[in-house]
Amino acid sequence: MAVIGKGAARVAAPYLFIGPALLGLALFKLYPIGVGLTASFFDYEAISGRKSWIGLANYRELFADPLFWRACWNTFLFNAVVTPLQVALALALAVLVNRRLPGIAVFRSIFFVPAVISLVVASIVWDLMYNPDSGLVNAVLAAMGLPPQPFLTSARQAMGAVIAMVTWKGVGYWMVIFLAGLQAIPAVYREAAVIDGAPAWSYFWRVTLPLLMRTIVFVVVADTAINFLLFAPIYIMTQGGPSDATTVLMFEVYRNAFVYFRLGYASAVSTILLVVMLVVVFVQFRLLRARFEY
Amino acid sequence: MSMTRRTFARLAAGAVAAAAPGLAPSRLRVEAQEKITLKYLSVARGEPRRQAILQVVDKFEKANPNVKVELSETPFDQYFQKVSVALAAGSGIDAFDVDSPLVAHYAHQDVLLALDEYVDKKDWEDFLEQDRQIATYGGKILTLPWSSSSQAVFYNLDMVKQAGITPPSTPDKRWTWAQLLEAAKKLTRKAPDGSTQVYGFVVEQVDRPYQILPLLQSNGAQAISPDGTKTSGFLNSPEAVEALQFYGDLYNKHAVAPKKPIPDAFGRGQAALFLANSPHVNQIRRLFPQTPWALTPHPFFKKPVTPTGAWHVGVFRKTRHPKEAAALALAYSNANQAKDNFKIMNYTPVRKSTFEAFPDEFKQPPNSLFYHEITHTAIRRPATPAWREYEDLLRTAIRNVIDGADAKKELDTAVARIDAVLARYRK
Amino acid sequence: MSAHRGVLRIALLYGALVAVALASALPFLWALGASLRENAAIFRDIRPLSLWTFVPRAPTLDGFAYIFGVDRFHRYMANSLFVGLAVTGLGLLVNSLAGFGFARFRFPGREPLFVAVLVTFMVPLEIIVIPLYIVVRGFGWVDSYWALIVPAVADAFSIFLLRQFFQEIPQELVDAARIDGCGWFGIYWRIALPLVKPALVTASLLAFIRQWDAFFWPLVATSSPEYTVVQVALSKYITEFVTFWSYLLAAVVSASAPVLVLYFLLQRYYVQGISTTGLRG
Repeated sequence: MAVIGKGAARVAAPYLFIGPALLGLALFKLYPIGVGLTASFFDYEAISGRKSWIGLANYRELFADPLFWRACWNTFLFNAVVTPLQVALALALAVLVNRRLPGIAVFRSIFFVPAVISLVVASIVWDLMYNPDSGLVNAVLAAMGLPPQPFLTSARQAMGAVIAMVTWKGVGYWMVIFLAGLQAIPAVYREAAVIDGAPAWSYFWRVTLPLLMRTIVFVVVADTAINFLLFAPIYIMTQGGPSDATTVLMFEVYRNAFVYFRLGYASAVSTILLVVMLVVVFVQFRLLRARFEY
Repeated sequence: MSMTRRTFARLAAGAVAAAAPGLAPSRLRVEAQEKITLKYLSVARGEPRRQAILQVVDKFEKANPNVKVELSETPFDQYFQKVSVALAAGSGIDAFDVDSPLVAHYAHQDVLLALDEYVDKKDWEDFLEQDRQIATYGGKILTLPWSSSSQAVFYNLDMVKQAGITPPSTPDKRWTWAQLLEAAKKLTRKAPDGSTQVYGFVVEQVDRPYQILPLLQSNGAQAISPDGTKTSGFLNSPEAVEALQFYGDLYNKHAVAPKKPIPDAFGRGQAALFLANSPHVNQIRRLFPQTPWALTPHPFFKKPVTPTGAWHVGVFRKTRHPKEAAALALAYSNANQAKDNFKIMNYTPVRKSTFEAFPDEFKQPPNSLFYHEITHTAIRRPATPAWREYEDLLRTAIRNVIDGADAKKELDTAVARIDAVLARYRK
Repeated sequence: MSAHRGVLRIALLYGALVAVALASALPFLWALGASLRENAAIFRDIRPLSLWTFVPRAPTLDGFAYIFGVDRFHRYMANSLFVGLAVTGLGLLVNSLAGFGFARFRFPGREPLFVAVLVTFMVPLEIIVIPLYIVVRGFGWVDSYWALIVPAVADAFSIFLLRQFFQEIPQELVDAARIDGCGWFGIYWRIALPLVKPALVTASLLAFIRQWDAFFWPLVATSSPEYTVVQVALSKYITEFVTFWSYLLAAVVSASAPVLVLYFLLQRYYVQGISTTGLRG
């Protein structure tokens, strides 16, 4: 990479660029994160502020709790399905609308509508829609001649119902980023492919995808982080049920922090979540970078 | 945008004001009266019920010109989070709405100021015995009650007439749960496509212990051991299991109640019987005036038990203005304000004088019924510092039973977890 | 034969577009229709499905009249707009500088610092809210615009996104600018920024939406109505005993509209061919 400017300026340049943002992040995120996560080594009652060092006791208690392992499993299940699904659909939609067709701008706007409604509001509306008796989804199914489903009231369907809602909500959001990424692919490549007579799928796989890789890395990693920390839909629609079917680790963080006020224990769950996320993201960076060499 | 200009002006003014004390000559500072700001954290109650706290703040500021009250209203669901952050950070809160079963919890966390020295002993006797007990912990008065609650079953007049049912109107003839179930079965109506059009029975707080613990207690179960150290053998006794299983069957076996709550089901004519709190009297009148209703008493298994308890005022122990904060608490809960509170918010009163002030209200339905229950059948929630955990774990069990799980298994699981929590509190 | 193929392709394309559009919009359409109903009629006509599920039989603007007339909901929308624009505007500068820094330089500590940036969006607000509140209180910002704006400006999501796009810039362009005697800031300002315009627009739009949707932090950090933001304001229609559906739905529709309009207006940055990449053909 480049080397310009004299001595000190050359060395200082990158730090000056990242400085302001890093200052903000350090003050308002990293420092509170440090405080928040070290609480995991304490028995910390949030309200009274009483703290006492207990080392790894919170973690030991966590690993012995079957509810924690259930939450781990649910978290794994949820994320293994939602993130790939959202990324794939968002990419497909972006490619679909990234063309000149009459009225395409209207479609692009409509696809973005779910992203515009806040997650809390969307959860409230979907909670109503999933109502087995009076909800919109069963009304649509009935109109299509299909039997009504229990959705959120069934331990078997609840996770799937939440996944569907979260997918619906997120796809438009990521689509917009892929659209920006697609803009960076010069039109000249596309024209060349058309002249060559290359089929659309092959063009996509061998030209578009590699050129889009950096955007894909971003979307995969960011979506992973967001989905691991997702909480509002479960809080509003299922409260972790039925029978712990939708309890994910983030819900346990919330429950321990704000229902039980055991901040130390909640921090322990959050720390574990962070470690898992970092591992997953590290793997994602490695895997996706490998595809780069073309 | 004028908003931005105004804001920047305000920010600039704020910056100047912040610097001002350093600029003013000391002589002037000494002469100015000390302006105190109190922060009151309240639950957002919507119109018109929020007018009560607004009235309290207004009257208090007029009576104490050197005090300004900053009122913050938070939606019920997020209220506890807001309060706990303020308490944990140790600032931004002087007095606040205390959910009555949390008195023991807050006392254990040592965040409530003892109010004994501010309370007039004779006036204290005006509160109902039940509410005085809830407000006291460790021998000290920690909160001042300003509302209570009671429940009854609202029934749709047209629907019961059509079904040929006559619900009892007096407590001595109240339905057993079996009788309510029979009525609910007759009142449940299905649509041609098989979905349920009208549910026989809906409950206000479907899975909350506030609502369901009385059922277990009505069947003879106890919420917790008398010494408060365990729930095993009490919360999961055969009586408790039987009662909870009955409740779950309403949703599953008999399908007279909806597994997923339907918004405003009773008001919108989608439910015939509605077990709910007293404020719904005015809510239904206002929001759904076309729905004709009357009240029948809370049903029972072996002995009648009704839920009770609502909101108190508490003062933060670390407040910098204890005298003023206590005065505000008294202003919210005094005998005069209690009458206005009742008129505006419709919670069941906590003072004998309030009941006496509205003889017409409380000597005839619907409020006569609530008065009877409060004074004869109400059992408060257990006073344990572990109430948050207890409530959450029991609620999970109740919800699972509604979704079809076995009551015994769920209660046993809940009890094991609750007892582990209780053990932690004893250390 | 290719003509038939072409028509079939177009038909399938539009078919897919319409299907996805319906799935995307149906919930919102229902909410929109419901916001125009009187309170007692809100959950009617859902089943069996019909036109009346989405179109109110007796439309009324009562919900909107109440939230704007009595509750002055526009105050809260204005607050959110102000905070959103401030965070996005300041963020554009701060985050793009950082994204450029991470993308175009090799320097000691680059990897750990970038990991630190990523970590900031891997820990939930619930865990950091109390220490963050104490920091903000230390600055004297509780219950003010500062509390809502300043902590949100530096944002890992935007930094990461912009870094990815800055990485795409061909080295030849940078080298050419160096030869011309351009300093790093000049390269950033005059070469790099224009090249990543779609990403800047996207990052800003999404940052604005994140602020518009903010709920828990504003709830904790502000109390006065003058600083209340739109999501907190609309949650107040869910009270202890009853949810005021008519007002809530009107508030939801009102809160969604500005963002949708903003997105539609920014469309041109997404249309193929209008943005340039600066490459020769």
